[in-house]
Amino acid sequence: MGLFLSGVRTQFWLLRRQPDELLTLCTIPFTVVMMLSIVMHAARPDLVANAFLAPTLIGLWGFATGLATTVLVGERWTSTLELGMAAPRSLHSVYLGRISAVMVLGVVPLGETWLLGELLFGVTPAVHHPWVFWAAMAASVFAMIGTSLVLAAAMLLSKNSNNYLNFLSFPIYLLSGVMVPVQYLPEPLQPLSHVIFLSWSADLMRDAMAAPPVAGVGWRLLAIVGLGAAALVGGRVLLAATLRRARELGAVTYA
Amino acid sequence: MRDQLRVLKHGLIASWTMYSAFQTWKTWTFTWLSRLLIQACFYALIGRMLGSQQQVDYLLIGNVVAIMAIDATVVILLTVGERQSGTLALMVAAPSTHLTAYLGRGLVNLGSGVAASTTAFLVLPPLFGVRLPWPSAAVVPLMIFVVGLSCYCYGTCVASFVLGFPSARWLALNLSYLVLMTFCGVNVPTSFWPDWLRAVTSVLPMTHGLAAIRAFIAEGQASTVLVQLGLEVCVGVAWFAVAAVSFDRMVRRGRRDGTIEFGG
Repeated sequence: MGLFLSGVRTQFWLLRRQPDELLTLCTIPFTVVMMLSIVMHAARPDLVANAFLAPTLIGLWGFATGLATTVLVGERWTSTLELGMAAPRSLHSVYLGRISAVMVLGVVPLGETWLLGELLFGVTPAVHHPWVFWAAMAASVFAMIGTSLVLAAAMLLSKNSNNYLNFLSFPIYLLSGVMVPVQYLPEPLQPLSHVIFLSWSADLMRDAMAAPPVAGVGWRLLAIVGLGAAALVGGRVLLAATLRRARELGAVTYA
Repeated sequence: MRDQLRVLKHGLIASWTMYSAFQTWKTWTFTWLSRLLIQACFYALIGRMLGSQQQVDYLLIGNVVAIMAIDATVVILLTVGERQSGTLALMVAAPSTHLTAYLGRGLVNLGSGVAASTTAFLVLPPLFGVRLPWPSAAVVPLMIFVVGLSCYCYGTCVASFVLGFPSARWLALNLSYLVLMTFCGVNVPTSFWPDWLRAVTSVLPMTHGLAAIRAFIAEGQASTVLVQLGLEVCVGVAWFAVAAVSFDRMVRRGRRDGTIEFGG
């Protein structure tokens, strides 16, 4: 736990030193304006909830791919990865702490979206089931930590990992239905959505914003947490394997 | 002029060498191009959710053209990288102008963007039931190229201001293309915005070029298409002129106060 908290502290310290890493917060307003302008221009106030949810979840994913997943690659570039690997204790918890610190900040786009919606368009959607909404948000942050750990470990496998990471934006937004519900996707693609926790998050949060009672809250939350836990375990195993492989191949750091 | 073209040619070769060190045709196709195609699909699906083929048409065409803006503005990162590599002082000392090498630094990426937009224009409309006026629609990639050049000029202008603040390059890149994608008639007509904002969009690239493409696809009047394309060219030239002046001022200031060497 001490190592985990040390990672959290380190990450917050780094963010204070390099505020430009919070780039996602600067791009969210544009996503908010794009989504809201589309639904307002089409005179579809019933879709305002979708337009609010999309920047929120895109921001969460943006924090994961823009910052959390680059924690290990950043260590490699600053030549501190090998120092960490040579330390007497395993630093996996430190890395997880750093990723968790970033993902806690992933909640900020939610507030940003609501604020901008009110300021720029004078709209804020009602959240009829706030407890369900916040539970889904918390579960999503947890799942994103696990997913980020998988991606962060995978980033060490290729020199061109940024290309792959860049790819994982709109395909994920599309498949997880952050703006457009999954049923609008072609049928063969829809099963893929079930293995992406964001699709469960988007569905549950949309339902939590709507007036009708939310069905199956428990198992839907369990699906998000379960996928997140699976990713966390997978990420831990992948990280260990990746670091072992790098050590064996002598590829811990680049010239 | 011939000397400048030779400099440009060698600059392009160097840019291509660097670009191809990071991108093979496979990574370009399966990571970058596919990502951009899916981005355009994402917005077209919003149109489908809105329940209107007209919205699908509008959003798809807008985003097919807009995805090119990302590549076109990458010149911001490349010029900052060029300065960080310490070449500016050497180029200033050389008999040829440094502007050609610096302002032509992102042309390979512009090519990538135009290729991606053109591919999207050819592949995506049939998937979303968007009708195009073939065979005359074959001209649209040329119009996309014009919009791309204009966006590139805008990118060079932003780059000339960001050169002194290298740590802001990623922020500048993202904000530059997001401004175009958000306000220049990509997702909603510019008439949706307040008058002051509409006035701003009229001097931004993409606005007029995209309007020309939309008018052409809707088989509007040729004069409308030509006027809008002409305005797009004018906007691009104006941004490029500001870029050249701003870049030159930065160099003169650097020579005067000794900050021209910025290598790191």
